[in-house]
Amino acid sequence: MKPLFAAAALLLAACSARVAPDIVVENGWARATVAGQGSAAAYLTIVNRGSGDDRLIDVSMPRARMAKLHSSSMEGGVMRMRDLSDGLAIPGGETVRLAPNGTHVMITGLAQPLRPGEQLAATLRFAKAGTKTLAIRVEQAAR
Amino acid sequence: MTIKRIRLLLWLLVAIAISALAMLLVRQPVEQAATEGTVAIGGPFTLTDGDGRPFSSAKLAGKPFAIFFGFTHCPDVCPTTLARLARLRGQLGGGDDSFAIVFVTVDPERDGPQEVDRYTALFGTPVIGLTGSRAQIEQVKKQFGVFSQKVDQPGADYSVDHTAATFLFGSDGTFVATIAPDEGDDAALAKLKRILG
Repeated sequence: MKPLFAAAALLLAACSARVAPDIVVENGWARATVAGQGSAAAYLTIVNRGSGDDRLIDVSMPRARMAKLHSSSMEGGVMRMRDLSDGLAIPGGETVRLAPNGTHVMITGLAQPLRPGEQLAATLRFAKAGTKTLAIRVEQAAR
Repeated sequence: MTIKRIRLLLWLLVAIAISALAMLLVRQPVEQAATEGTVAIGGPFTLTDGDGRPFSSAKLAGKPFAIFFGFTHCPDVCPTTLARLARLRGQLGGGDDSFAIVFVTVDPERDGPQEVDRYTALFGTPVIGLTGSRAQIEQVKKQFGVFSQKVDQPGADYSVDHTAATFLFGSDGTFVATIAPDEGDDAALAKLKRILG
């Protein structure tokens, strides 16, 4: 019986590995800010190389009092910004881009303005893949 | 095809027609106001510039301008829009003087002259930043058909939902077109060329 169990366990492990998400985070950037601007947006790319779905739940950045997933969406010519409190789906095999005028990480409570050339540490927490870290590079505002 | 199926199909068509009509009705007023040159948009105004001095719209006369309403705490759409206008003005090659870029805050509570001045200096090219009293801002919003509304955010400072279009005016002061944030650069460039004449 024992070899049979072992084989079954192995098969199960193989199956779950095949459907597991495999998350890579890259190309993090943010626009420079000036004093008085309490908030900024960070953009990045999330690649799910696995076949299993995942979900980005939470972002934290030590430089900011708070980092949150936000969406900007146009409704009848009006831009509305809202919290993505349920996180962001990262389907298996897909690339999700957080880009200007759309989903972004809203950074609030900046004690110091973001200066071009700076790198900000960010930790992204996924439901299945756990935490991933990346550096957000600060670029000229006029990018 | 059975009668039942045909009836189902017909009902489906009716449902599609109704939803299409509903969408049209919901969207039309905004798009009409935003894209047609004949609607009265703009007009004379007096606000306050980044140095705290009165700024009369007469200063914009004789030159085309692009005017955008936003707020300095806006993390995504406002800097994206102003950065794009700065970039496209550079691409068009007519220099910083070819058309003015004007930023008007819809959040005068937080954006005084100093905030607006520092913010507009971010874009590496001249941008006219304007603020004013609440009454002045409300008046200008009305003139340009701009909507804005404060939105409380859990655990953070308030945000402001606002009309995100950029309004383009020719050198004679007539409203020509708008650029929406979700329009591509090619469309935006074509519209900017129209105000450059």
